[in-house]
Amino acid sequence: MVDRKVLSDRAKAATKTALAMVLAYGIALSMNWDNPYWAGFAVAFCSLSTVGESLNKGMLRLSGTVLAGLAALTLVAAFPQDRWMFLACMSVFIGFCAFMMFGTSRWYFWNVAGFTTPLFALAGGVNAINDFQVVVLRIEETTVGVLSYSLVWLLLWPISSSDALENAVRRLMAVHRQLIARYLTPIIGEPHDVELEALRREASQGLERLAGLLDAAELGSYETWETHQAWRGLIQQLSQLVGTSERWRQSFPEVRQLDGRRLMPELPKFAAELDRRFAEVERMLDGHPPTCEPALVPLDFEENEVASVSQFHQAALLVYRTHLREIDTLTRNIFETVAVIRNFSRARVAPVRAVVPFLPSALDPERLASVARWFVGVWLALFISIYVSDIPKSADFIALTNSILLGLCVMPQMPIAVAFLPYAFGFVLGSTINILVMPHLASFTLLAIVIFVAVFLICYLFSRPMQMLGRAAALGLLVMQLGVTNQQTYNFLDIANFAVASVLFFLVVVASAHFPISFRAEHVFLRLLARFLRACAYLASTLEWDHASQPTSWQRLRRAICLHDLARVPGALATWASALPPAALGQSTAGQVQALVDSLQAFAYRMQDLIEARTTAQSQGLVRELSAQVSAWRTGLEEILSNISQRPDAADFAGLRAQLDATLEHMEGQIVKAGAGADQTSVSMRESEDSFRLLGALRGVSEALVNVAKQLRGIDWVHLREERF
Amino acid sequence: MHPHELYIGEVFFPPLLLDAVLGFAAAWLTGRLLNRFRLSRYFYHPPLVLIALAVIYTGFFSILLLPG
Repeated sequence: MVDRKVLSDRAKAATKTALAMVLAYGIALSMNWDNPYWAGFAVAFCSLSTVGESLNKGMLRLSGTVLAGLAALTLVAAFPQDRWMFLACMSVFIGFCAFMMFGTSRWYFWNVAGFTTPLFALAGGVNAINDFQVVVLRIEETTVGVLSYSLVWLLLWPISSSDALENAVRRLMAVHRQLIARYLTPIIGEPHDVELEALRREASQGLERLAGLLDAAELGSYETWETHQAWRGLIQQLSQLVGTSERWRQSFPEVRQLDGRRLMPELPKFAAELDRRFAEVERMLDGHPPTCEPALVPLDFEENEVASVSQFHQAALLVYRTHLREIDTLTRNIFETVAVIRNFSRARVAPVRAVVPFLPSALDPERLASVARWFVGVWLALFISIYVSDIPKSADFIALTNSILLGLCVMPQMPIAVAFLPYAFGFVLGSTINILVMPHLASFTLLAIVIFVAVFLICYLFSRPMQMLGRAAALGLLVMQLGVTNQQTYNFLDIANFAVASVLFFLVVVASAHFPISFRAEHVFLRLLARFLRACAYLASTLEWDHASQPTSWQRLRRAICLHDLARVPGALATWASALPPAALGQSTAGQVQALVDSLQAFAYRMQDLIEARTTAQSQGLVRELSAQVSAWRTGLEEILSNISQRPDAADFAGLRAQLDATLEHMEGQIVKAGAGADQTSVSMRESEDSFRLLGALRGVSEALVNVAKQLRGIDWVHLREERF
Repeated sequence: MHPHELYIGEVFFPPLLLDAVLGFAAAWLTGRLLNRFRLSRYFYHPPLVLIALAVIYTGFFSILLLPG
């Protein structure tokens, strides 16, 4: 075997894919199967960095192919003579697949089921009996492709999926350890430096990869499969830790001027305990037993010191401590889960059931817009194929349009121009080999060398993770244009026709990005921003709801949809912000847009805190005293959010600051009065704490809103809204 | 005027194909220029205008430059 230092990882991955491709072709040709390039497709689209990842994707491809086969055969059998019913039912099925791709790590299953169905349905040609043979053949060849690369991945420079998962978790633990230590070291001041930003980004990006890595490791390693429930629990706990840390971080500004050590004397001890806990977790992940169990640090306040600060600061401190206690519980759970994974504890980890409310997720407008884009594009392709005579390669044109549009449902922000270059490269390379090289080849050995070199070249040139889609497109086009069969024929017209069909398909895909719903980054960004602010305005109005009276079903549904938007839209805004073209940014910079997205995320966290705090029982005395103030504050918030959602450029940062400061000052005075007048024995400690938490949350929302308004002022709205070609 | 075809080697192409390619290229260039001078903001829906321009240019070329 070649020494590790001789070949780079890039060259190794390219070699493995090229070898797997040759092997897949070799088997398919030796079995004398038609269309041996289907086996090549499985290699082209499923080969990933580890055995488990590739195997996982291969299994999803295989099961998706089986579902598509069943669907295609059923449709052909049900509507053999009725073209329109057949097309309508097929588009309903593929539309369902497109719809189901969202919000799951196994989206590839639905993707394959969606793009393979028309392939099967159209591949049989005029004779429907062929369809069954086509389905069986495609399943066989996909299996061969999956087996080929699994074999190569296992034997040649194997990369263990469980090692990749464990390394990712280990790195994530180290990142959290550093983040929490840095948050706590200056006690409550937030060092806003670049390194901290990078750590935060690494924490959220690392978390996104974990679900996929676990899916892969479950297939790649028996040990991981045995403890997969615990691993899933760990990923969920890490996800909660990321969210809680962020919400905790957002509470820093209100307590920045306070002396944390004086108010919470056990804070340094707590910081040391968290650090030790993370160190023990890292130790367990390395295979060593823990040296000690997590210790309890109560985080009590120094009552006399706390009494000396203002009511709002007391409230802010309570919010701060609530987050710290959540982090304490989460890190303790992480410790226990890792102990179970490493067999140092026999505690039982409850199976994880992610509760995602179905309706809000199903009614997500961007999800429906993506499905609408797919629908319009595919029907445009169908109408062109049916009504324009002599469209070349109409079956390929429909199948290609369908598969690319399905791919764009998952990555709608990706400009189609990004895929064009690899597509053209794969097409030109494949066509050149087919016309100029293949006629001179006399044996499979020579063909194998040509395939190896071409695949290696593509994998080597498009090796970066960001180029994954381009690489798949280039490999797919190469495999299609080579058109290897046992009875090889060469026809330039096929290639010329395919080139014309490709132009048509790119035109349809580009058209579907503009009609009927625009997918230009600036349009989607503005759409999402308005939706987020509208959702916040509605949620602010629901704060008025009385605990005693039940809202109507429609109000509950609308609230659930708005809560879904509150949790999801800032993430989507971040994705689309990075796709904004320079012309749309105008005078503002990418950093300013990112700062706006960060401020919206902070505002979302604050709103979530407020909504949670609102659900707890409040001290009746304080409620009585502050009811009018809080109501005025809520109405003001609702009004401001409604105005900003309609005209974000009109956000008056200074005016808002003055208005909210005045309300808060007034409210603070009322609290002092209420506190002095209240009969302390009639208010339970718990109710009192909850009331202060609520006040802290109100203040947090106000501060976050002022920050949003400040960031909104920095955006060049004229350029962002300007229509462009 | 007699109908005629373009050919490269021994492959024949309809003149409308080249007209359409030139039409799209001209429309794209016009769009870029309008963007450059910020004139695109005066159009309600630029993508529709781009398609209209492409059709106009293609028709123009098929009449004057490369008639079929």
